[in-house]
Amino acid sequence: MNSGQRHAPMPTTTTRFFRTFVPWQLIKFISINLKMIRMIRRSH
Amino acid sequence: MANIVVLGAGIAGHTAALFLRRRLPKEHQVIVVSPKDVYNWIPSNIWVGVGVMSAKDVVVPLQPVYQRMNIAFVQGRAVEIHPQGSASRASPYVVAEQTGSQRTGQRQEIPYDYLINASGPKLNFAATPGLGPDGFSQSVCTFEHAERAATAFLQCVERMRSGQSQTMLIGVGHGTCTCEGAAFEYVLNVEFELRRHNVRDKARVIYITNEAEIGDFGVGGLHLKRGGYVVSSRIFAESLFAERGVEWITGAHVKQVEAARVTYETLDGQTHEQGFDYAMLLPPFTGVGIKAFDRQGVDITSEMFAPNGFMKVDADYTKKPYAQWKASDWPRFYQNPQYQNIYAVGIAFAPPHPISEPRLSASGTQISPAPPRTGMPSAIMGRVVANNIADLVLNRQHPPRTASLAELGAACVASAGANWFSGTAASMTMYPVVPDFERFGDYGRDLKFTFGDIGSAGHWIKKLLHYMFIYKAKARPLWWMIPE
Repeated sequence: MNSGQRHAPMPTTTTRFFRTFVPWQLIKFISINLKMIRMIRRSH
Repeated sequence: MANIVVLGAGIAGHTAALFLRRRLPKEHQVIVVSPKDVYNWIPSNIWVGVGVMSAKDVVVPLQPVYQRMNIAFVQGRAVEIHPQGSASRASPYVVAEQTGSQRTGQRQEIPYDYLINASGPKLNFAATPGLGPDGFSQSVCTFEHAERAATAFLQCVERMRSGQSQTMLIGVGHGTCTCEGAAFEYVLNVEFELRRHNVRDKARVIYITNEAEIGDFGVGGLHLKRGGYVVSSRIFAESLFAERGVEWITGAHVKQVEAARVTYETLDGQTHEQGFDYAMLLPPFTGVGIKAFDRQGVDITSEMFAPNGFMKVDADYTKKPYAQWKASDWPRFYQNPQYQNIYAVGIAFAPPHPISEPRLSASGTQISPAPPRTGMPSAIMGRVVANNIADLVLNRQHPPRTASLAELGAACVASAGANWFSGTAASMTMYPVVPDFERFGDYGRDLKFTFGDIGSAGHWIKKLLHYMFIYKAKARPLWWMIPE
């Protein structure tokens, strides 16, 4: 393990749970798509 | 009647060809010249590379699409450009060597009124002895390479199932590589698949990169607002690797790849060795090696192309130190300055300089990423140039459209494991791609449009993008409504 690995922040159990919690990720799916569309519109 | 020739049928070239055909009446010819007769949705090659997709899932045969769209197709490799014509032909033309099975090697002259060079990269495995599928390491740059990588990866998995420990070394195979994001995705997918195959405890996974810090991705990293702080992408990338037990080696220039070992130099000038049982190391890129000649047949390649083989466009190529780099150095129209009817888009255009800070090792070796030209900006360049050419052909008085990387954003989704319910991906946007410190201060980017998140939603988005862009590549109904 290098020094970066020793000092890297680690996600909490709650954070890891929500990454694959389907109801929360469905909300994230909509939110991320909206953010991407907003950025795409700025670029086009 | 105009002839518009597009060299290359990748993300930039195929997009350009489709938009040209959409805008131009049939009397104007759109001709695509490409060595392969398939379009490859490259972002999904990493999934082919771990065996969760097959090659047929990521390719689209071009002939049926081009036939339906009334686009002429020459299966060949562009080898020469004659922008002034020649003694035997008054008008400008390209020379292509055919690569289709029946006429391999035959030369064909293709005249043009407008030329779009979207020829992409040459995968320069030769830059590092032993690098590449013909050497001792795998690649995921093409679907064919990715299939071979998957076979080798699954053989490793079988060895681990039988009780052997294996070292997986993944990253970039030269100090000047780009595409660190792809290597980042691949190492996370390898780690995920090792867990899915229940052999993770038998594997040591090491990431080797030319980035001074992981999370640089060749764009100098990015900053995100999170939890009341502005946080560097380095923190998130290191956290993800630490969480997954992936070791990392940064600031590395791989000098040689042997059967079970790489030799690499780090920024402090020291040389190290690392053994492996499986290695996937991306190569550095150069231009594909097109040569240019004037009317008298004199070689003018160095006037039209940078030393790295990429075509010069409307960028500021003045050599200047990092502290003097500006957003305005980057091209807006992708037009060759000498021959205004020639454009270069996607990976084929010559960047003015990298985006990440250039670094030399203590012994003078360059160890820093080349600038990436990812899918979204490349496709936007293709569309913008196609529309500008169409305006010229149709004599439409429309101000030329622009697509500077310093004025464009990018949306990237980096897979961290492919599964509908347990897989995740990091969804990122950054605006602009090339940081503009004059407009946006210390971070160089607009933090309102720069964000990142990791979760299953990202994986669903990446899968959605896969199917959407395959649909678009097939030019199915309303394909043009799908944004690049």
